[in-house]
Amino acid sequence: MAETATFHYDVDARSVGFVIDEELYSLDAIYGAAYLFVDRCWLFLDRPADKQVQVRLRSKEAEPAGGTLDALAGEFANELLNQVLRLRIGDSTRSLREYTLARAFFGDDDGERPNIDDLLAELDAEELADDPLEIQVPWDTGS
Amino acid sequence: MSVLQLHRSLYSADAIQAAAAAYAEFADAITVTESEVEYSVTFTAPDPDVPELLDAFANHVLFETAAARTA
Repeated sequence: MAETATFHYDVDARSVGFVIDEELYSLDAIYGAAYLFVDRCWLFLDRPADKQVQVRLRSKEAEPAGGTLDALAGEFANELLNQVLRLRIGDSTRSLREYTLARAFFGDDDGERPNIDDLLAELDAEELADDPLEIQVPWDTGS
Repeated sequence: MSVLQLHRSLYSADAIQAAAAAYAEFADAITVTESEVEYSVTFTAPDPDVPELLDAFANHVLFETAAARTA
């Protein structure tokens, strides 16, 4: 027997509401999605039970067009998934980002830290050096 | 008088205070009390020209709460 997943929500004249299970979508993901919707609709969060968050999206228009609220609920659900993925990628790459940042701030393993004057001198030298291959670059064509 | 109730586990007190300061001109007074489960925000004589004051206030609190969590 095939299993189906259905997104349950209730719609009235001006708002749409649904309950999110925090075991599936973290509170950070819910906040992340809500953050992106505050300019589009009125949002209200409530907690009907432990580990559950009720989200209600109310249209800023007095009489929203047909289908608008259904679309809003669907877009919010999609954004929730997007936020969950974003958070997971952030977590899984955290150590790499911290390592890269540490290298940028504290230099290489040889203990030498280039100062800003060295970096600027290096940049000037690169700009002034002749290109031995004489490859034409688009910003020098004058067209 | 209008009252907005916000669950303590979902909205931060600092965000409510920030919103109360931002919306102070739209009511004679905005007072916040708290119980074990929720904050109650009371708007005394809310501005009748701003019919969606509570909705806007709730959005502001949610925005501040979310921004503080992701900072």
